[in-house]
Amino acid sequence: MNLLSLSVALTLLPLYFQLPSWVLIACLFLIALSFKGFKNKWLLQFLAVASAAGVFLQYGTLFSREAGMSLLSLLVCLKLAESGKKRDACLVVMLCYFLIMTWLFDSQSIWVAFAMMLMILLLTANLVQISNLPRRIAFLESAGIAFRLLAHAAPISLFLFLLFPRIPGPIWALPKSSGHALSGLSDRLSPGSISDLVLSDSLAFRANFAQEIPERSRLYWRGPVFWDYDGKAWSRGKPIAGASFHASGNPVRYSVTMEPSRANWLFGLDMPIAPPPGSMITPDREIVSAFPVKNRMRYDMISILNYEQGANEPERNLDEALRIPQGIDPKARALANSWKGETAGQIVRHAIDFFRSHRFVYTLKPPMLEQDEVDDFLFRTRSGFCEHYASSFAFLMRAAGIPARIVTGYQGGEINPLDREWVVRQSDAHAWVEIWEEGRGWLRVDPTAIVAPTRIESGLTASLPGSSELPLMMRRDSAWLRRLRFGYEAASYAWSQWVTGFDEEKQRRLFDSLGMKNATLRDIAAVFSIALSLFFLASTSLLLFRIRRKDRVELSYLLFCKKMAKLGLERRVSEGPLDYWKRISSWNPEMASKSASFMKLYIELRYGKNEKKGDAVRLYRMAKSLR
Amino acid sequence: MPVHPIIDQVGSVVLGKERQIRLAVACLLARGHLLIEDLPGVGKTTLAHALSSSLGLEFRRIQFTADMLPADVVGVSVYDRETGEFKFHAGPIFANLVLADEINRTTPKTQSALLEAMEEGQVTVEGETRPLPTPFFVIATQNPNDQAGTFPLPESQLDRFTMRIRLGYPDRDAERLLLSGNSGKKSVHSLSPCIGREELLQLFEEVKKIHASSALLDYLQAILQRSRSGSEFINGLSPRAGLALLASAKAWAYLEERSMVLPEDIQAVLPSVVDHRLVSAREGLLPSDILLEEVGIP
Repeated sequence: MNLLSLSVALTLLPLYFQLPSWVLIACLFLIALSFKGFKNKWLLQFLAVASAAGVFLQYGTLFSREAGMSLLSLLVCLKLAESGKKRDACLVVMLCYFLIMTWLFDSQSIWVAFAMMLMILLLTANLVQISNLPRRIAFLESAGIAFRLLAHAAPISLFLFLLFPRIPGPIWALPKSSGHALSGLSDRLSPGSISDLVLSDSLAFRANFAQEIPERSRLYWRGPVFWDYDGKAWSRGKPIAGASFHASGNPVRYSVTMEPSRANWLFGLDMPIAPPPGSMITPDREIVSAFPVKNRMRYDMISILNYEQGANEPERNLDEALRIPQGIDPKARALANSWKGETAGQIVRHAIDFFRSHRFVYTLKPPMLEQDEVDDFLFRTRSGFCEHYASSFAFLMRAAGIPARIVTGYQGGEINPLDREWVVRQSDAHAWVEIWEEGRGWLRVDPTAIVAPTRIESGLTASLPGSSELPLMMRRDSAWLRRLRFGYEAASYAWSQWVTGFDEEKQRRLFDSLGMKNATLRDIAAVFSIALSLFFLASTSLLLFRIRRKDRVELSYLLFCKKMAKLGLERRVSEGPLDYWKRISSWNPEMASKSASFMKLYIELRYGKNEKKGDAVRLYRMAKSLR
Repeated sequence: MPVHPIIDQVGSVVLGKERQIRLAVACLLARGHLLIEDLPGVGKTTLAHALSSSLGLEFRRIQFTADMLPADVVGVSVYDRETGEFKFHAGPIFANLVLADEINRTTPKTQSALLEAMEEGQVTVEGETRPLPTPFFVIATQNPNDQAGTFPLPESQLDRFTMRIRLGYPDRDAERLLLSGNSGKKSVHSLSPCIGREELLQLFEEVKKIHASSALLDYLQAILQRSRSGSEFINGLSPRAGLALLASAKAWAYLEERSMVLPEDIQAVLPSVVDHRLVSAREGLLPSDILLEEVGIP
């Protein structure tokens, strides 16, 4: 009984975040009661009604997801507290099997699946123990039996998993009740917004390149574009459509698997040619999805790295790309004014020379900027992260009369050596500048590359002066930690690709590879049910065959004993057939004479040497006809 | 059936003990050695003597005492002055049926000389191995209550006896017959053999042929398993005990005039076969009671 209580407690444990605390406390209380055994019927019934009432008060209904889970948890615990019988214990285990499925509401990661398997093993071990009562068997032994049983079940469940018809649409994607804060790029850019983000080590997305992976320094993953500057922060503009786009060179084909970000941005290499289904490309060539990315999603992309964009940019957009607030940052303005009148290329070179000739520092922890942030950064602190450089560079350009905008996104990434997937993390977040030049359109200029060229060539970790600013997992020296993380990420990716992501499409591909081209849902259902019925036919006929061969004699005897038991002459466990018959004859001589020939034949068949064909059937008929 | 005259004849000497006599005969038919354990004066020796007389076998009796040596049992080589050679003088063990009276009175050394002969059917004296005659039976008796100056047989030695039976007091009617003196009770010495040696050997073969089905072996193995897995017993039944149980059950089935062994046959011989081999940790219950009660017949 104690193992069962423990199992129920373990079943409820992961629901901690999903259930109200009073439900959990009540459950724990009931589980504690079950250790003692709890027999007061009236109190139990009162508690059952009280739990239902409590759940109703909490949720206003009994039929929502949370309300159902709460009620079920409470009732399982009540049953546990009440039960002492075999049947009740079995029921509790069955309900626990059902309850652990609710773990999936919270998360469908590989860890949850692993924990569920352990839990199933534990629950099955419980069943083994219960079915052996009153004999007690050791936990390890029962777990071993449960393991063997589950191993037998594994091929069947794999079969069901692969072939069970998938309903198109997100059957598992149950909406969550409340949002968690997820990190990612936002729609405002201010000093510190990216340097905060890069401290997070979590995945942004993965890319799987069909061919060769382009050079690292060319991997600019385009995200939100910023036009409006208010002296403190950049925000998105409202550019109008009409800009041209020409691309030449080989297209790069890849697929991206986005982690949930709760934002609408999708990311693609500069420049994406066409939007994936369910999204669009804005005039400034952001990829925007119609819905926020709430679950892991995968899309195919084509980009071309050599492009020309916006040579005929509408006048209105260019005006917006020149606007700077009046009256701030006089020093920077003066510097830019001194370059006015020269060609765009020369002005850019001046600005680059300015960054080169002064000692600028690339750091995650820049000092606070005071009023006139651009001036303060360019002439006093001279240390900052990519958003500082991009922002001040764009400001200088605009002040010098060159249209400029800021693009944010990710730069670089790294390869997971285990599954050869390209991995981009939040720590690869980046901001750069695009300037517009007459006749050439928008050109990418990355001021960070001037100050810290290693950031672009080898990534963030290599470009910071000391590794002390970075979290433990990102440091270069902890190689084994990195390998561990790569291993986990590869496993979790495979899990999402092949288990939680095994949808209709993948199933269809499996059928294709099995030689069933263009299988419809109906075909799949047909194959599935035929295979299932064949399986059951085979297994039951095997069982029946065995019974026929071996146990017909035994079955006849069992039938006979059952009939005698109805007359009040139950066979004792250790009573041999002859003794039993003697007892029958002393109680009921009539029955004894009726059953004498049956008994004789039974003894002959069960314990004798010679068996004639058909004797077993005859015996069975005799047992049946006995009244 | 040639065995029934034996049972009847022995029964005419040992009154009111038909079941014990049948068990003893079954034990001999199973080619096993028999241990009779009871108080003095209830007829242990008489039973052994009557059995051997009825079977018509060569019979020797060894009265064990504390000062006996192994040589007193197996024999000794004596120098013969005329031929100038050592000549082997066979001990009392060279007989078809040996009655080892009060076996727990002698030292373990002498006991083991006997017990080794029982197991191997041969004795080794001064480096020379001599076969014992066939068939070879030992019927041993011991007195359990009189513990002063005895050397009780350890369980490992007891395992060599196929059966141990207890005679117990005669019931009221049998005792009255005995006391009234007109029971027709014959003297042991007046008994004549009912069966010849050849016939006896043939009987053994017939008993061997009794069929034990797999269902029966299942039951037997369940008994063995139960004795080994439960906490009630300090040690389980040995494989030799299993063989002894099967052979005894076959012999019992033969006495019941059946051609196959039934679970009832096993149950009939079970107490005599297992009670001296198992030590029950449960107070007041015989090991066979536990096995009979708890092992189900499949």
